[in-house]
Amino acid sequence: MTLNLAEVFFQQAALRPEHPAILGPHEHTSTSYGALRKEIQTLAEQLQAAGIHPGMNIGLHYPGGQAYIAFTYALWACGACVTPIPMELATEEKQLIFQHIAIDAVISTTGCTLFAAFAHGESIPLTAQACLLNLTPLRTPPAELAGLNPAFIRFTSGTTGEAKGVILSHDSIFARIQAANEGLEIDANDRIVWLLSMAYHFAVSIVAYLSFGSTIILCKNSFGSTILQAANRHRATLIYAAPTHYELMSHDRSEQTLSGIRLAIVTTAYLRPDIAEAFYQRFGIAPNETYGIIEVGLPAVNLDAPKQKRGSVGRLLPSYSVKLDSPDENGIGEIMLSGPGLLDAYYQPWQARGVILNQHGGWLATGDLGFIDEDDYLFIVGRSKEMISVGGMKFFIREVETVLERHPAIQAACVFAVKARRLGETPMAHVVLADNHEPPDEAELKAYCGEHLAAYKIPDQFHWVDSLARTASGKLIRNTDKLLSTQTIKTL
Amino acid sequence: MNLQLLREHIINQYVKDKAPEGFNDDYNLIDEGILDSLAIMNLIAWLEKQYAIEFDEGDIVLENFNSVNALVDFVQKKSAASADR
Repeated sequence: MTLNLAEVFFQQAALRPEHPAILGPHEHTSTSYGALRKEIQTLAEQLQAAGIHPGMNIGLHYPGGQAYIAFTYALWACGACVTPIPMELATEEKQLIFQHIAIDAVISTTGCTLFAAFAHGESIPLTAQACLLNLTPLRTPPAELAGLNPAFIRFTSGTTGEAKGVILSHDSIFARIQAANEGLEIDANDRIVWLLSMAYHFAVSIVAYLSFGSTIILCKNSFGSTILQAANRHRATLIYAAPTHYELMSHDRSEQTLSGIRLAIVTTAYLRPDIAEAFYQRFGIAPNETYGIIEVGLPAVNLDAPKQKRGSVGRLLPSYSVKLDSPDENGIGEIMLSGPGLLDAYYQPWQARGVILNQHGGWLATGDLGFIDEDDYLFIVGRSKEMISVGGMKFFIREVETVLERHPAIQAACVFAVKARRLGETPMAHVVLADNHEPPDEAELKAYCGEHLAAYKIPDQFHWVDSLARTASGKLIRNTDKLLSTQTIKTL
Repeated sequence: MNLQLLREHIINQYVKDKAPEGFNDDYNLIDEGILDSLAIMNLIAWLEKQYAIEFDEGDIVLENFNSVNALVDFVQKKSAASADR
């Protein structure tokens, strides 16, 4: 029988109908497993009546929250696959998703006109705030897709020719949540404070929580005081958050404490030691750093030594294996992983799991650089891929350069990461002026970028240079220290 | 300070295609989902650079980010405090 994650949830709901599935975001809001099941089933009936059927791929363009969870599970209950379309992306970035991935319909906020150009028929109201729009797909899906039992297609923008779209089947997500739970040990006693974007984080988090009978706590906003209030009011046992949230909790001035937290999971980005220390000093809890990667799941969590091995993502969980490719004299090499629930395929160009893994002898090359200490704790020190992570939101550098190079006054651009106090990294750009053009000012360049890119991808600073720095072999130099010491730059 | 610049920055960078009805300087940027935690951090970096102020950790509270007007009030107070030093 084909596995469906909606069925896994329905089984939990049958076991514990009165148990809270979601608490918050408002003070007295509580939804039981039974009530959430009913909400999902009602939506699924509406979607089926609107023509959603197995084999379809549906875009989900909606803010995170209970409705987002219900829509995802309702689509799965219909046998459809879900492609998240993050709300914060620029219009052009959203359109790119539709150009690369065949999407048959979209669930969106009512009144959103973004998809009108591809829509056919009237929009079908689903709730007071959401509607379904049938679309004419801009391409045909890969023939192999339907056979994979796909649950999610996560679009990953990349440079020309790079794989776009990570496909995760119901089976792979189920395998990876089981593997993660060998370490996390989440069960019906757990109440988990949720703070991340559901468009980027859902599989080894929301799906895991609802598959293991635990309770999700939603917060009204991400300010430290609000998070602490929600955690205390709902007796949280686990926090799942980004470094930013730990920083905000650490510096909250409301004098609230935290008790009963057994895991404080840090994901999306490197946790600065000063934040880890501030959180520990304030609450007596050492945050548990993790290694999460869309192609793999959650292969490592620093469960047993978050204080002693601060900065490490821990030992690999039991079902996973790691090796370092071509380690240098300091033992730093590219992190290669194997284990259950790896991605099923890349969407475009199509690459099935077997093909991806065969390129590296059965291992998944993560693009992350790291080392393993004498006690088998994994430390991540950087990336071999040309990416920047702004507050945990990762993107390919080339994506930003391509947008800049389309500006008439820019002949060439080089984007690189600079360290930033709160966001970890921010992008900076070196730009070369095109012939016969006056350099636009920074505000104009930022406004131009804002039309094409999500806010976090827009360079914080632009420097005009006579030419881009290159190695002897002609490759662009992206080493921040070298670039910032270049004498020819003219800051805007 | 230039209120128009701040308003335009928020609309250009964070509102995008959401086009909320009734958006004005008292519109609740947090409850309406315009500013999430990442957007707040991005906005802080922009405000610090644009207005030559520095946020203390305790300044990152709901009251200062509720609306364009709240942000303007905060930046003005912060600028005045910097000038006094």
